Amino acid sequence: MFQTAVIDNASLIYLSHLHKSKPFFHYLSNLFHTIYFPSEVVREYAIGSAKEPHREWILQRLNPGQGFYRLCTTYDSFVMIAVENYKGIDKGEAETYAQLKKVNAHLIISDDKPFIEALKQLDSGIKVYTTLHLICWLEHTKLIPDWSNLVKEVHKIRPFKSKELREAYLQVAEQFGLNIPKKTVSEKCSLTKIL
Amino acid sequence: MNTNSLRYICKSNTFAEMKPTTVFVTYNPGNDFEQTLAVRLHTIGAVHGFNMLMPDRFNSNGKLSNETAYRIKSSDYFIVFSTSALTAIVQQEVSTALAHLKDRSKVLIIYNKVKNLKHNEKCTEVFIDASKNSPQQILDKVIQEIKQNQKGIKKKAPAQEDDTANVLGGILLIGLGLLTLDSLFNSKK
Repeated sequence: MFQTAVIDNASLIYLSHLHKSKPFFHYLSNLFHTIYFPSEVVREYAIGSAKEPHREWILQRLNPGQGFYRLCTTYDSFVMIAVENYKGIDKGEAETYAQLKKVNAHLIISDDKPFIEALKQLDSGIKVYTTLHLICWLEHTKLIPDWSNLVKEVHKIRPFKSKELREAYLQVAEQFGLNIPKKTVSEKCSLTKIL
Repeated sequence: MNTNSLRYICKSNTFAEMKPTTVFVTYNPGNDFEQTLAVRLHTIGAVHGFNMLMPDRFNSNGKLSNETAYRIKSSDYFIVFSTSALTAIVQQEVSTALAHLKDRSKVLIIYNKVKNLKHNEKCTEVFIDASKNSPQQILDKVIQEIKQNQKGIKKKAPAQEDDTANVLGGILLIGLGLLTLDSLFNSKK
């Protein structure tokens, strides 16, 4: 089964910002076979493209039913009904969850805390990765050339604490069963050192 | 990547809905290069439809965990790209894989620039120098070695021999490419 993910609006906005200075979406093609973009997420995201023209890059590459950036237009209506009015889940997020269920994707990419909390209660088996998880994953594969700069860049667009970065770093390490020395983890995740 | 390599990958993943091939990739603990190579292989393999597994050493590097043993027993192939003699934990993993797979052609150890090791006849060991040969040349050598070892196993149909080479070809080539890149990088230092 191919490694796939469904992306939510907040993460999409952050990744688009990262893509302005380096080809960040291209890095993702090393991690996933396909990324699914729910149509409501795309609609919400496209609203901001007048103020942020760089959003057009991904919008021009979305294809329904094919390609790496895949636009989703059909959903499991039963799942949609079940989650649409769930506390903490908006329409775009409901589509994200419904799409995950439909295509049996491996994970959801989302930085929306209420959505992540709601998912934990709704379906504890679901894996949710934030932008921090993605950069940590890229760091574990050494696919990004400059970790510190990337962390700085993410921090500018999406402020976070060292603890959050540390948790994401260790969660990705755990996914691969890696035993990382505490010293290395501290060096990689200390914002005092990086910023 | 040439057309042969792509053919290997495509052949192994054309029928994505079929049960995916499970490949266990391991590394010597404490060796950052091997670890990164294993994580990359895991990631790239999963992108291309393989079910990739790695040892669970999150809590300890020292002993074979039940989870690791379970993962090895769920695997169709066992691969290690090693730049040094195997550590005790990897040797334990190799033994577990051999006991489970009962086929030396499916337990593959590729040593890069490692010499003077006591040969382990129970698995497929290939000694290479990634700085001297291209990944494709080395891949041919590795596939040859796998086929050689398959000949010793009774009841192995010719189609099965090709299948192993095709399935593993893509993953092996990626690993060999990464080894070559590292050799090039080190030679320029």
